[in-house]
Amino acid sequence: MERVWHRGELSVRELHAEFAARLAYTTVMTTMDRLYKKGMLQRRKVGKAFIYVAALTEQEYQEQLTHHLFGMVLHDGKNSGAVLSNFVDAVSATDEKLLDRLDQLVKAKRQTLRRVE
Amino acid sequence: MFYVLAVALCLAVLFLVLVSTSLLCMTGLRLLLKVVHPTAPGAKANLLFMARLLPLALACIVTFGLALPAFLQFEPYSTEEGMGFRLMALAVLGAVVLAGMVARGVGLLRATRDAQRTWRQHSQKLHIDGLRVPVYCVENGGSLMAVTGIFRPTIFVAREIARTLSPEELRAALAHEMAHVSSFDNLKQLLLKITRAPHWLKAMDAADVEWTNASEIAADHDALAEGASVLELSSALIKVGRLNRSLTTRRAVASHLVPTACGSALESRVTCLSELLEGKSTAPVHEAKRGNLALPVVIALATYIACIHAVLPAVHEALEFLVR
Repeated sequence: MERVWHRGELSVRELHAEFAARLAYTTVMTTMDRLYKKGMLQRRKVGKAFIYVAALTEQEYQEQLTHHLFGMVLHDGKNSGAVLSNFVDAVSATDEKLLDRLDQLVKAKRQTLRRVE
Repeated sequence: MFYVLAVALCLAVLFLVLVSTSLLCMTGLRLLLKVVHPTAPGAKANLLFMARLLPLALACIVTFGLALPAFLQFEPYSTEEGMGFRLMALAVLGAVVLAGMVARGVGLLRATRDAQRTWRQHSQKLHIDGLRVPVYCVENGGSLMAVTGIFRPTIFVAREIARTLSPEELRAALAHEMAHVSSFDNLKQLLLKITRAPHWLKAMDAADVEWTNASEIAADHDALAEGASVLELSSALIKVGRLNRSLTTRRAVASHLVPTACGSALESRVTCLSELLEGKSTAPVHEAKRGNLALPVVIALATYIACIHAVLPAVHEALEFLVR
């Protein structure tokens, strides 16, 4: 994906040229086909070959990944999903106000401690 | 036929005791939540946990401690007794309940393993001195900071959090997670989820929420008792909470999971920490954990061994009602 983002668009042959020493042509082709089927790449046929372009920008991909990884916590809820103990569960608007108040207390306490020192 | 009858009987008794004690506990739990206010949050969490698991524990004790021995002792091996409709129906219901629990348990363990595997793929191991549980720093983890796993717990911290928190704040937050590990909270959570009652049994649901709140406050107390600073723990809570809020409100898909009403674990934790900062309550001190359960278990076992032979004939009589 990094190569595709960097180059904009490229064929299997062009990508394989960069990895020829380490990967077989069919490995590169299969990987790109899988990425296409997963919706990460788009492709169009030019002659006999496919030209691949990224379906998402790198930033969009990172955001999706964050959403996915963090979503695994959010979707846990209390009735399903993984067994885990979160440091902080979902925070409501009411909780946010409480956090603001706690923040004021922490700042005041730190100031007092600084003055004592 | 002997073994088929034995299995059917066990399932039927398990179902009957589980359902009847669950209904009784539902009323009991409602009263417990109103009446009992233990001062130590850990004691409250333990009490709620035991009350929630009581129906299953009783069902297992009655089934395998009384019904099965009575059947094995008094039922002739060469029995030609058939299985009546009543016994068959109850056994099927028992099997359904048991299969549901097993399926739920397998699903939870699988989801936990998948989450661990996915996070580990996108993470780097952190080396933190004095911590007996591995800690992984997850790239793109949002505001993830959690301990997962039942038998081999692992702590996952999002890169954003590791970057935002100072080393002292991170240490305090990790002490909170380690308190969950020491209290076997994930194992308890697994058992509570496996034995979860249907949603219409609201008292059971309320007990689960109460347990989550109590165990979170207990983890804060344990972290402070282990030497974490109130200031650093509060500061970590504020930063992670704000990061969590900013991420969840940005995502329409996930925002429905954000509670709108008060009464969350965070509210109770903030109240406790505020009281500590204002000097209204004193910081918890480290106390050696005692084996409080050992004596009652020994007494119960001794009573069981002493009375079992006197009780079994009566149990067998009662079972005959089911079998016929």
